[in-house]
This record gives sequence, structure tokens and C-alpha cells, in this order.
Amino acid sequence: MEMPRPAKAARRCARVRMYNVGFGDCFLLMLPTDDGEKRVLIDCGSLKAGEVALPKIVKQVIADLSPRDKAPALDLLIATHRHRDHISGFSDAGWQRVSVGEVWMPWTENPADAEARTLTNAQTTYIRAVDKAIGARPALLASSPILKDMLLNAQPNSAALATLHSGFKNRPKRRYLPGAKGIDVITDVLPGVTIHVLGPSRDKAVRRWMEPTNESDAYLAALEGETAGDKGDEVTFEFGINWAIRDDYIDKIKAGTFPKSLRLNRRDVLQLRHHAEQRDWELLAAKADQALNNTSLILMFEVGSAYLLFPGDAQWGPWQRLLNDPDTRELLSRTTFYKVSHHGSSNATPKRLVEAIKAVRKAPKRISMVSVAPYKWAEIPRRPLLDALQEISADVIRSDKPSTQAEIATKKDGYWVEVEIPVG
Amino acid sequence: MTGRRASQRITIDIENEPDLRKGPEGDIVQVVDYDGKYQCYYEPVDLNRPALLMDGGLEPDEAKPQFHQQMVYAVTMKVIESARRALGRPITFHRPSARQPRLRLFPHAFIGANAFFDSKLNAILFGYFRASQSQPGPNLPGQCIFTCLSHDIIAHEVTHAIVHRLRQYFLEPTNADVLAFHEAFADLVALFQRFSYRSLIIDELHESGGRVELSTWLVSLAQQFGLATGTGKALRSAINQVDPRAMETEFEPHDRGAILVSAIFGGFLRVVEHRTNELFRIASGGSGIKPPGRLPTDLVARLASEVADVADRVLRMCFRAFDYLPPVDVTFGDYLRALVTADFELSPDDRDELRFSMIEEFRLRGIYPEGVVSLAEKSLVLPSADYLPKLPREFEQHTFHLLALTASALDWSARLRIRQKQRLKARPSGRSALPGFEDALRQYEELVLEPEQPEREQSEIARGLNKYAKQNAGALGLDPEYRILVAGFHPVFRIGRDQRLVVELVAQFVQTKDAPIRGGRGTRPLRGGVTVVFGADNVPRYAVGKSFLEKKLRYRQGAQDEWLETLGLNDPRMPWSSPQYRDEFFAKMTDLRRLHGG
Repeated sequence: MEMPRPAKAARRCARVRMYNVGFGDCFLLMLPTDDGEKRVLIDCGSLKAGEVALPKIVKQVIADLSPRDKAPALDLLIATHRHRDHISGFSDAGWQRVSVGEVWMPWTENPADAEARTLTNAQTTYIRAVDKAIGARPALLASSPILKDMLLNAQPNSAALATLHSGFKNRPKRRYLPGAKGIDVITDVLPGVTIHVLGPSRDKAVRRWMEPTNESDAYLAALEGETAGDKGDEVTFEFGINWAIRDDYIDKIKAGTFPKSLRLNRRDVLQLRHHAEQRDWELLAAKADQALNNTSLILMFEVGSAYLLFPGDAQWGPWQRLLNDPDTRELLSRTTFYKVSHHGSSNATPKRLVEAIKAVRKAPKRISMVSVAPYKWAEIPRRPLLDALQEISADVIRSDKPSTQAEIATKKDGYWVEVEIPVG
Repeated sequence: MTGRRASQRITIDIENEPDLRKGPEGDIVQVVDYDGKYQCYYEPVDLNRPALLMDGGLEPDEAKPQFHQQMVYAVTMKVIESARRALGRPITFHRPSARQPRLRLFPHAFIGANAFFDSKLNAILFGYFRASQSQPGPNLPGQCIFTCLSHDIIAHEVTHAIVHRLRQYFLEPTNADVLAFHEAFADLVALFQRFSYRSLIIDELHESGGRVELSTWLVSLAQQFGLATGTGKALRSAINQVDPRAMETEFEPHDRGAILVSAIFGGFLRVVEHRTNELFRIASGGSGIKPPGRLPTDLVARLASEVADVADRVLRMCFRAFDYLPPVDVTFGDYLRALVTADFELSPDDRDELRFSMIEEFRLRGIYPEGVVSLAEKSLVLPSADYLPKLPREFEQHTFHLLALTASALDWSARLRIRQKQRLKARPSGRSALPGFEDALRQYEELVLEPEQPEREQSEIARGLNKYAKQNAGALGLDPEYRILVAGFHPVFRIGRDQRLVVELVAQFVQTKDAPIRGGRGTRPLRGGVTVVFGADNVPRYAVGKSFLEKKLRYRQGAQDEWLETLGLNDPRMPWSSPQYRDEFFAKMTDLRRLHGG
């Protein structure tokens, strides 16, 4: 005999609310725990606004954290990585009124960790050098909006970082994850909820993906050399100044002594000048972008029968390590909710992940959520990826478009879209 | 000639080119000191000035562009010499299509911590830059660093140019190993070239108590370059921890290349250890236990000789293997087979177990060739190509002519004699029946088939070979429906370990068609081809290739598409790319500048 379905309120559900921040991430999780519903905020930032400007969204988030006019409070705050599009919202003064249980950041943010300092210093120095070099070439920036955005995104967010490291109303405990042992399983914050910290790895092979320069390339020095000091290029030139012969002088003055066979023809000269000027600036900027993305916290929330995967903006490198490990791969395959990594970009959700999830047959309805503000032609978000996710999910919910599936329990507001995930 | 290297100073002896002109400009390379950034030339050096000749070249002086010119010239010639000796044929960079008879070297081409070979310019461009202000290592903060003063960088880049000369398609990333091979080979040559400087080995062996593997200096590349960039380490170190899974996890060309480098270096170390242990035992009255303190100078000198000897053998082995490589789509496994085959041809007995050591080190790193039943030497040596017919009789005259030309182009003493005569008399005019050295070299250049010479397709030799390939298309894995390009034909002369003379003729055939780019617009080239090694009697001995026939080609095409996809996923630029970028991705990946850091 079929029992009458219990009232909706009694059904245990986790709720995930995605704010429409434009190009960025801001997720509020309301998780059923043994100690009642707990709230977790994952990231709050935007690079370019969607329909609503970021300050308004921050206000809304803080209001949502203050039910029945109580003081705003949050059980757990997570900043996945230091990119502007993930943390810029924390520069808002409003956060000083919010009490927070704990703040989690990737281990790379730990001020007491020497290894982390070396890494972030290298990243910052690199970004500064690229920024300076590109800043000196205004025409470049004008010609490539994407270049501009990538650079802006990597800009140090000191106000936001200050909030994360030392702000908020109380003095929340800061945790830098994972700890020295590798993968952490955390159970003490949200009673009854298990959180698997899958990244960022401290493994050398994965850390390479967080370094904008590695042993085999040497941009940093090159860029520094080009812009170092404000004396400009003259210093580099000094060595040869007494020996330099301008091309047009050869005919006049040096005719006869300068060997003919050494003179370059016009085409070669142009080619050489081109080589001297040309550099793939977008590649340089993209390397910085990827390096920061790969420091993302990768978290799997295990709530009852639900598995909520929040990988920040992790790109290709960190995923490989996870998917090569059979146990981790098995854990990943259980995903029932997926926050699409890096706004749906081409190399942030590996095929192998999708395939691993797909291989699990008897699975509850899966939901994917992706926070996007599409560029005209770039691979963010990548269409074929969204299609593939559609195949394994009951729905792929975009921050910029209403859901297409009526049966998915979504609530909407001008600021956010929310989904309920049954936790069994 | 003298060059400055990081902390040491050594003298590089190279063969004298009597007719070396200002530049320096010799028979095969030319130094053009044009600065693309400041758009000027720097006064070229004249190394044939008697005063300089007496002094053995310019003294090291970082502030003098002329010293830089001398340095790039000397190291480049040294590497080319090694290649010529090992390959047993003249190395030339003649490119009629680019109207460039010589490889050009630009010691100060641009500002940047990069150096690369550019095939369009037929040139190597060296950058210069200032050392890191914040983390300069042992350099002065902001000091000017010249990549053209680094022995290893020069050797590395010249090797890229040579590899491109020998196999032009090895820049196309058709599988995970191709670009990695280019990088690894360039590193190997730079590394083993070091061991040809005896005074350097002696110093280092003194420091490290006679153990090569303990000398970080001998085993790390481009010290100054690496330290100046702020990474705090030399660029790459030859001794990596052996990770048997590395081949499945490392795909970045330098990292993957490092696996191959460490395999070969590992093989080298095994043989060195074997040989030096003997000496240690002799020196210690049989115990093999080293006495405390510095080793006796005589012992170190003997050790150095052993090390240099093994290094020289490995370097030759590495180069020789080229003639047994397929013309396209190379893998590390192919290289292992080529190494073993080439060395087997010259010293069948493997007295020092060099081949055995190499195979063992490859095995440890999980590098396996496709389609061999075991890693025993017998199954690694390429199978005999006895199923192929002899080259036709009418072709013999070409072979004989080429053999004669190659021999006289390689004849260095004849060359010097002729030059001396020329100095006494006026230059002889016109071409004599028996070519002198210079004529031999030019005629050789005109007759021999090297890659990137489309205009040679109509030569008699090319047509003869083309006909042969068409008649035996099926057996060669070629498709007669498609055009067969004769991408190379040259004779080689080598001396075996037992002083036998080994003479071979090597032909390369390549076929190309357009394949659609998966997940994109437009097409990319899809190639197959075969290298055939003939004996001097025109009988085919080995044939090694990548089939252009239906089923196998389709399989390779699928594998290539998959690899290109992975390559794209590894490219940080890809998420932000335009459709145009994605369409040109294949072509972009063939750029050495990009490979060396943009």
C-alpha cells in the first residue's frame, strides 16, 4: 500500500542557491545537519556584472543570512581561490556585521606556510610583471577585451583578502586546506555532514600547475628585464652601443668594409623586427589565470545520500591527479550535484569525470549549476560540455537563463536561482 | 677559441675553416649580428685576422659583441662537427627555396629569455635580457644575460636546427612523443657535448670524488640561464627519479622529453660506473675502497678519459639512430629501436653492454616500442627488409656518383691541401673533373635530397626513387593513389667498432593528405611515410615507417585527433580562445618559439 507522501517541509533537502553575479561565483548552501539547517557560503565575487551590480548582490546575500531580522550569521564561509571573480564581494564593508563560524581557504593562502608564501609570491611577481609589460602597450589591451579581463581578474584583492583573513564580526577560526597530510575528511563543522577536501593538492606534480613559470620557461626574467627600472631599455643596450651600426649608415660610411653577404634583405629585416616585437601576451596572461584557478579548493559535501561537488575553478592539471586515483574517482562518480568548474570552460570539467558519473546507473536525479556570463566567442562556457552535462543531469541550470525543466524544484528571484536536492 | 661558461672557462677547439670570412661566415654557418629590437648591426668579427689567429681567438669579454659572435660560431661548429662524424655525411643547411645556403645565427636578435630556431629564416635567434631583480641567483640583479653566451643553449638550438634538417615533420605534434623527442634530443646533445671538454671533466671529477652522477654541474643544463630566471634551479636535470608511470602522466614536451633524456643518461651512467669501478679497484689494490682525501691526479685523468670515451660513444649512437627513424610521427619506442639497430650495425658484440644498459633504462621508465614481442635485443633490432627488391640497375650510376661526392666532401685533409695550394697560387677557375673539397660540397648539396627542397623533386635521383616507391607502394606501406614525396636521399659512411667500413644509402618517402580538424573548422595535414636503408649494393636492409594505407592510417588519424584534443586541454590559452585560434592550433604547435616559452 502506498503511503501518503509526507509534507514537503518534512522531506530532508539540501538547498543550493546560485546568485547571478555575472562572470563570477556566489553560492549559498543550506544543508540539513544533525543540528538543524546550517548555512555555507562558497565564494562571492564578480568580474563583470550580470543583471544586478555586485554591491546589491552582496547586500542581498547578507540580508539572506539574517532571517527574521536577527544579526547576519553564517556557519561556514569558503573562498575557493583568490581570483577577483570569486572573492571581490568580500571587500564590502557589510561583512563586518556578519558573524561567521569558520573560514576555509586553500592551503596556498596560509600566511604561516612557507611553501605557500613562495608559491603566492611567485604568482604575484609574475602577474605584476605581465601586467606591467602589457600595461605599457595600450594598443594591446584595446585590441583584446579578454586580455584585459584576465589581467583584471588576477589583480591582487587586498581588501577582500583582508576580510577573509582578519575580518567579520567575530573572530572566526581560519582553516587552510588540505592540511599537511593530503586529502582531508572533515566532520566537525557541520554535524552529520562529511566534507572531502580533494584539492588543491600539495603534491609536486600538481603544484606545477599552480606555477605560472616552471623550469622550462622563463618569462618572468624576460618581462622583468624588459620593464625593470624606469631607465628603460637603454641599460640593456649599453653593451653594444660602441659597436652598433645603423643599417642606413652602412651605405654611407661603412661601404666597402661591411661584408655584403651579412646584409639582410628587406623581408628578413621585417621578419626579425616582428620577432623582436611579437609575443603571445594572451598566452602569458592565460598562464597566470590558470595558475590561480588551479589553487582552487575542491570540495565534496556528503549529505545523506547526496554528494555535492564544488571544485571552484580547478582546470586540467588538478583533475588528472584525482581521476587517476581509483578511490577518488569512485567518490567523484557519486556526484549528485555539480557546480560546473570555471564557468563551464573547455578544460575545467574533464571528459573522464563526466564519464565516471555517467557510468553510475542507479543514481538519483543529478543537477548541475553553472555560473556564467558568456563571452562572444571564447570557450567559456563550452557548448559541447554543457550538452554532455545535460546528458547526465536532470538539468543544467545557468545563472543567466531560467531553467528549462519545469519539474526541477527551482525558486527564482531577480538575484538568484535555487534548487533543492533530496538527501534521502 | 675561448668561451666563458658559468663559473668556468674552457677552450673549444674546432676545425679551422681556412676561408672563414668576417661575421664569422664559413661554409655552412653565418653569424649575422642584427639586433631586431634596436634595428642595427654590431661590428662583425674577423677571426682570420692573423693577430687573432695567433691568440687563439678573442678573450672572453661579455661587453664585446665580437666575443659573442665568436662564441656562437665556435659552439655551433662543434655541434655540427659531432653530428657530421656520427652521421657519416656532411651536414649542410642549404635551402635553395629560401635562397639561404647557410644556417644563420643571430646572437642578439631580440630582448627576451628565449632562443629558438626559425625554419622560415633558416636561422637561430638568440635573445638577451636582464637577470631577475628580485631573485637573480648568483647573477647581479638586473645584469644583462645573453643566451648566446650559454654553451648549452647554443648547443640545444643548433641541435633543433639539425633535427629539423634531418626530419622536417618532427615539429608536428602528431603524438605525445614528437615534440618531446625534439626537446629531449636537443638536450641530449647539449649534455653530452659537455663531456668533450676534457679539462672540465677533470675539474668536476676532482670535486665529486670521481663520480659523474655527483657532479651537479655535469648533469644540469644551462645553469646560468636557469638561475637567472628566478626558479633557483638549473633548467632541467638529467637524473630524475625513475617513475615507471611517468610516460602515462607527463605530457608537457619538456617534462616528457626529460624521461627520454634520463633514460639515455641512465644507460650512460651504468657503463661509466662499470668502467670506472675497474679503475678504482686497480687504484686501491683490489678493494675498490677509495682512500680519503682528494683522488690522485693520474687516476682522475684516467677516469676522465673513460667518461669522455663513453660519452662520445653515446653521443654518436644518439645521432646515428636518426637514419633508422621513420620520417613522420616518431615515438620514443621508435627511437629505442633505432638506437639499438644503429649501434648493432656498428658494434654487434656490445662489449661494454651499452645497448643492454640503454634497453634496461628504457624498460625501467616504461618506454616500449609498438609491436615488439620482448625487449630482448634481437626483437628490438629492426626486421630485415628482404621483402623489398633492389634499386633498379640504372640507378647505380647515381649511387656511385653520390658516394664519390660524399667521400670527397668528408675528406678533410684533401680540403686543407687544396686550400694551401690555393693560397700559393691564384684561385683556380672553372670546375675540374675531380672535384676539390669546396666543389664536392656544393655538388653534394645539389645532388643529395634533403627535406624542404620542393624544387628537387624533378631531379633524376628523385624521379628514380619515386618510380621505385610507386612500384613497391604496397610493401612500403604507401598508397599509390597519392603523391609520393621523396623527402630525402643521402649516403652515409661509418666506421664500425672492428674498423669495418659501413656504407649505406638512406631514402625517405612521405605522403600527405588533408584531414578534417576534429571539433573545428578547416584541415590539418595527415602524413605517412617510410625510411628505407639500402646497402651500398642497392639492396634494401631496413624499412621503418608509418603506414599510409587505409586501416592503419585511420587508426593513427584517430589517435592523433585524440592527442590533439589533449594538447588543447593542456593549453592555458584554450578556454579563452577564438575560433580562429582553435583552427590554427595545429600549426601554432609546430613553432619552436612557443615551445621555448613564447
